[in-house]
Amino acid sequence: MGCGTIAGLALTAAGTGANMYANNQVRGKMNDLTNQELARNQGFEQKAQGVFNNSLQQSTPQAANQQIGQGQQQLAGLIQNAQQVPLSSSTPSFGNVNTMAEGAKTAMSNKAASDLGGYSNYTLQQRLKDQQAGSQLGVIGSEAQGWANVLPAQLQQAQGSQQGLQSLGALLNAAGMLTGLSGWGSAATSGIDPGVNSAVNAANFNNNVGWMYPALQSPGALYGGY
Amino acid sequence: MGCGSSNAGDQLAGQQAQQQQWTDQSVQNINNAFAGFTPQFYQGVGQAYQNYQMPLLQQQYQSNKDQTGFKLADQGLQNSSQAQNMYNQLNQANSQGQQQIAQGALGQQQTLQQQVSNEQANLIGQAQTATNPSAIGQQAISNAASFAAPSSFQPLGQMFNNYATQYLGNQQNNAYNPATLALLSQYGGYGGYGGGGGGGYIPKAMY
Repeated sequence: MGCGTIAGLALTAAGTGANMYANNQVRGKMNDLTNQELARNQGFEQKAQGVFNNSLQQSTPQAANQQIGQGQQQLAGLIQNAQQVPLSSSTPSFGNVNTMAEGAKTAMSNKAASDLGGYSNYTLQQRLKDQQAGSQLGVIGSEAQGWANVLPAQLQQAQGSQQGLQSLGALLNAAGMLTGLSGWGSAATSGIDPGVNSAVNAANFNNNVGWMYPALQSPGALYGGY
Repeated sequence: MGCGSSNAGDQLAGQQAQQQQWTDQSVQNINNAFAGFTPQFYQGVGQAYQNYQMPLLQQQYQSNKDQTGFKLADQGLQNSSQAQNMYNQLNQANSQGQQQIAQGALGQQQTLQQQVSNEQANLIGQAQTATNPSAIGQQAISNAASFAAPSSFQPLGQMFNNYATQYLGNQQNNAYNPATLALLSQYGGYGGYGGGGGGGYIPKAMY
């Protein structure tokens, strides 16, 4: 094996190393970015889950009863206030006017009206809390979507970040191959079977990772498995 | 070598972080602008509605009471059981009117609450793409102020229509109904039957 061949192998090994380093850097960066996005997404998910759970807690039968009760009290209070306003002049009084019966009728009617009115408060409160939760979820979803849209660009940027080192690796590989060929030229003149060398060279060159030793030709073996 | 590597990812991430900050700030500004819409505020609106409508109801009540008195006096029925019934009906109509006003007050509160919530949700929707939190905050203040301004309520409708139609109208018609007059003449007019100083018997058919 001549000096040219040794130099060629060294250059190829350097190129391969540079490529491997660059690829590892890219892979690590891409993994980091993906993990960051996943973590961010989990944060948004937790936030949204909180909003949803909070909204759900206001939709229980207990919450419904409470909201209906509040509405009934509210309307009963308003009716009471209205009926407390003194009339502009007194109603003529008759000896046999059954005010108790009239009062009872009015009280029943008031109760029925306020009971019914309570349900309008329930539907309103449900609509309001749904709308509020919807708004909050909208903001969270919009922010999550925004970040999800950023990830592809970040991954692309990460892929290109080691472009210089990858180019250097390719250059070294090419230089190694050329030097190896020149070594092969001198070996031919020194009696080494050039056919053997060229076959080995051809078999060992891999477009993806550059030069590989025969024992490491499996990419899985080289990177410890994908 | 190394040239031309894009930093589009960083730029987009920066823009997204900025957008998120603007959105959060906008939502904060919107919530601040609408912070005055408390349950007490809505109760105040209901009370204002009630305060506006109650005098109108009283006016209508007084007018119908006067008309009832005139009609009853005209027919000599002031102290009759029919008078008692009519005043009871008038009071019932008044109670129903008061109920309706209370329901209207609650309706006003609830409608306003829904409108405010819709507007707030609409602004928060805009905040998701807002690039100027101050501007959206100003818009929120302006919109909130338009809700906070004193409401103009619709005037009260005729709350005693049914009563007037059923009792005053019919009585008026009957008073001038020749058949009724002929019937009444058999008993010597309104005060001629039943004794007791015009206690008055009114044939049931009249009502």
